[in-house]
Amino acid sequence: MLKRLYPFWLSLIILVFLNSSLSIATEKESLNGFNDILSFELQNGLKIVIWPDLGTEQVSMRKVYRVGSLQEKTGLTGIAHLFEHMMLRPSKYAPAGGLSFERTLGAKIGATTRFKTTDYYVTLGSEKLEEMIRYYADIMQNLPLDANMLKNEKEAVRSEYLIWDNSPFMALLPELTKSIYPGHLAENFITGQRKDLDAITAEDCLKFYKSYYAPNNAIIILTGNIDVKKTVPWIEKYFGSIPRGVEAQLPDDIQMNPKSRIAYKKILGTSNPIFIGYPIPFKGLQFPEDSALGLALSIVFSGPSSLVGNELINKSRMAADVSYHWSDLGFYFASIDLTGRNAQKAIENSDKAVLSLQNLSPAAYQRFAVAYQADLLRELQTPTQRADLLEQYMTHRNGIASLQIDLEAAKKISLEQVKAAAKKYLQVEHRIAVVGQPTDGVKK
Amino acid sequence: MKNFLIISIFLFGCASTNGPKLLKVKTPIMPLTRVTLYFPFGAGDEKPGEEGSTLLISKWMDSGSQKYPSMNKLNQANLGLGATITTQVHPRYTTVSVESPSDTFIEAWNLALEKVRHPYFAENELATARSTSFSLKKTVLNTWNLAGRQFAAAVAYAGSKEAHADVGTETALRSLTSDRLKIIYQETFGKGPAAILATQSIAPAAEKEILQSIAGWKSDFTLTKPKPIQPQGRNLIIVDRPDSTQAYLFFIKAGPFPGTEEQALAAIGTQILGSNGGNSSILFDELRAKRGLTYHASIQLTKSPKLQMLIGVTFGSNEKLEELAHLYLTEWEKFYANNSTSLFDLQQSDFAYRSMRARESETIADIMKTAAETFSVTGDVKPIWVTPQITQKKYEAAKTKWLSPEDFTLLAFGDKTKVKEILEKAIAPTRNTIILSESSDWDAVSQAVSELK
Repeated sequence: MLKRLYPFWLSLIILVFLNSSLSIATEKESLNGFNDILSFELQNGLKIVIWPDLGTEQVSMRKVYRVGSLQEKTGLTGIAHLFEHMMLRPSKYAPAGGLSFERTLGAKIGATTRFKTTDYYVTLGSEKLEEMIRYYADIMQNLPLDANMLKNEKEAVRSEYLIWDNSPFMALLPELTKSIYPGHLAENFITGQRKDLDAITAEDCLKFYKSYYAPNNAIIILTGNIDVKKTVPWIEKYFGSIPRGVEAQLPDDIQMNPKSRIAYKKILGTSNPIFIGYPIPFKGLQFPEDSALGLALSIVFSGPSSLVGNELINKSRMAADVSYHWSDLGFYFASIDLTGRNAQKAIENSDKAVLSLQNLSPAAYQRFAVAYQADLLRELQTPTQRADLLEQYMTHRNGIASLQIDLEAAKKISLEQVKAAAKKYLQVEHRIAVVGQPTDGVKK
Repeated sequence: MKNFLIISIFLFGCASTNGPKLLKVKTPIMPLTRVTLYFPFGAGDEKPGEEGSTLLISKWMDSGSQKYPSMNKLNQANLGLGATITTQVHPRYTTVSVESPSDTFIEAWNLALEKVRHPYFAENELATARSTSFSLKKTVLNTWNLAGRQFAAAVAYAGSKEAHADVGTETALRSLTSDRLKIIYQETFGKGPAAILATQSIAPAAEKEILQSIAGWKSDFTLTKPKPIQPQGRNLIIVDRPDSTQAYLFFIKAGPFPGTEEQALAAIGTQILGSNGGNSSILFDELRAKRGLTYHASIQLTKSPKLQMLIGVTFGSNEKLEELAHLYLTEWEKFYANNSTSLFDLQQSDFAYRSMRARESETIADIMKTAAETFSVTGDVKPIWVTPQITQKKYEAAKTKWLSPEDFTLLAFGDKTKVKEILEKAIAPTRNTIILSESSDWDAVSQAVSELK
């Protein structure tokens, strides 16, 4: 039975068809100027999205599990990320580990753990796609786990965490998360507590795997040179017989810190970074408010042309760079690279610039919106980029509908919508700032 | 094995005017147009005491033009076209690239020309340009991976033009006056580009506009092939990072010149040993997968055709540094001594290397960047990568010549009080050890290496 995967916008052209050459009903969504995007769902709940582009020789495949560090239990923080590493260890179809496909198939392999999802990705020549589909299906159900592999991977994870500890900018993100969600499990960040990492056993990993790594908790995204008539049967053949598992559940909501504050964090080096976080609802925003806020953030925080950029870089010369980022935990944050130490004043100026969005003229708005959609277009050039964007829109936004609107932002999102979204979510009363305090090379 | 990924950047359709040539580059068909102005000067051409002047001028040019006399006005004009205009300063050349949706490209091109030809150079904006340049320099110094790669060029090309980084020196960035910068502008950007590269899908009207606007605007350029230096023995340079709990290691030595069969064959070796930056190799398996000593261990030949270097990278905690550094070298030595790699393994590694490189040149911006690098080296339209005729004998010869673990410089970022003895012991015999302060930049590294025994 065909299931609708994602919320739709009524103006989208949606076709449901049973292609005579395919054994499964697929849903088709049109995206102006691009090939149609197909989606379908297997009986076991595995969802598949395919965006073909025959103008490239590469394919990109993403297997996104709706499981992340928010599924961790007290005493086992960090297990989601540690387990992400274990998924690339040796298995039946990859006796030298998943990463060995870089050597044998010329692939690019990787994975990312977030709060709500864990994402395994590969880009490689299209002729090797069936092998990767078979491999990903195998590790969904037959991953061997042993204590020795776990011991080595824990060490590699510790080494990875040192990058966070020793980087002036990266060290701020866990602090910001902690400041927004104090007292919640999420304050341990994705890296978890180091003592928990020591204590996690192979049995813990196996339990985590059996609990969450099931087809009904996953989405497969395929982009690039995809032969749909071959690929759909491969997916059915390799994934179709995997039984459903327990549905991964996220909490309905998590308690955030409701009050504005500024926290400070000692960092190594000589940089002067600030992160300013703006919480949004834990479950994300509804369509099309998500698009309106995305554009608002771009207007306010995207580079020297933005409102905050113009204020801090061009006018007051307090900063060298301004950008914005997103956390799937439920907040956006601006990253500001200060030229000096006047963080308090910079935050005040940033607050004023954010408020000035409410006075933006229609002509200025049109310029920002055109730039926003052009930037998005630049992110759709390669199979990897397209898979990245689809992953983001499918799992954390409101699907293709949001992507379509964003690509035509200047026409489809009004200035009033953007102002309303900014007024609601970019409030001074709820923003949390973390200021990096560099050691400047002075030893403790 | 189907070798469908032949990495090459195609340049074709050279249009001549009485100005610089316009070359078209084969790029994916997207509703985006990009044009790159290639200027035949770079950071390496800056005079002593003026290091960073090209970057500083480019940042000052960002602050407005005669038609758009402020940074905000210029930025707003950019935004309305969905355009980006970016300047990149390389050691031997500089590019200004303009990219926009194809339907607004002619206006974006004219905006870029306005910015390059008629900069406003407001006195009060020079402070912003200086501040931005300082911050860029600081960002590089505080991001170990960026600093390491920038310093690697200073190690391999110490004392020569290729050692020069775009961020210059703090002294020069502070002391360059507005009058002097205006004179330098006239001698550099003011003379116009030597060539112009355009995406293949550029509209005929845009092409015509470009050819008309560049007529009579021409500067010559010279073609040189730089050669890195290779200090004897094993040398250690530590850039101090007080209180750091980890150390970042860069093993640096001269590599083969890109565009040669030797380079392609040596790249097969670095693919086997350290996967040219990827995650499947001898080093990765031995150091991370089997022992968990590090998150990353690789070795690669530099991708830029302007720089011929071999760079090995790994990092780890201070506690495990001794084992990490020792094992890195042990595996390198074992790889070097092994002369029985099968032809199948060589072909597989060649394929993996080419696949990786192909993925790195997929966006229009990446392809145009590589095309500019190609152009600067060859002066014509030849691809910069060659397909090697792989035999075990030829591979072994290239490996022996270029991948020896005997002569290298180990550049380490870490707490000097914790890592010096460990690293000296790991790479023993250490010919020279140099300790640099946390604020040291590429210039300090270049000078230090120039003075090595």
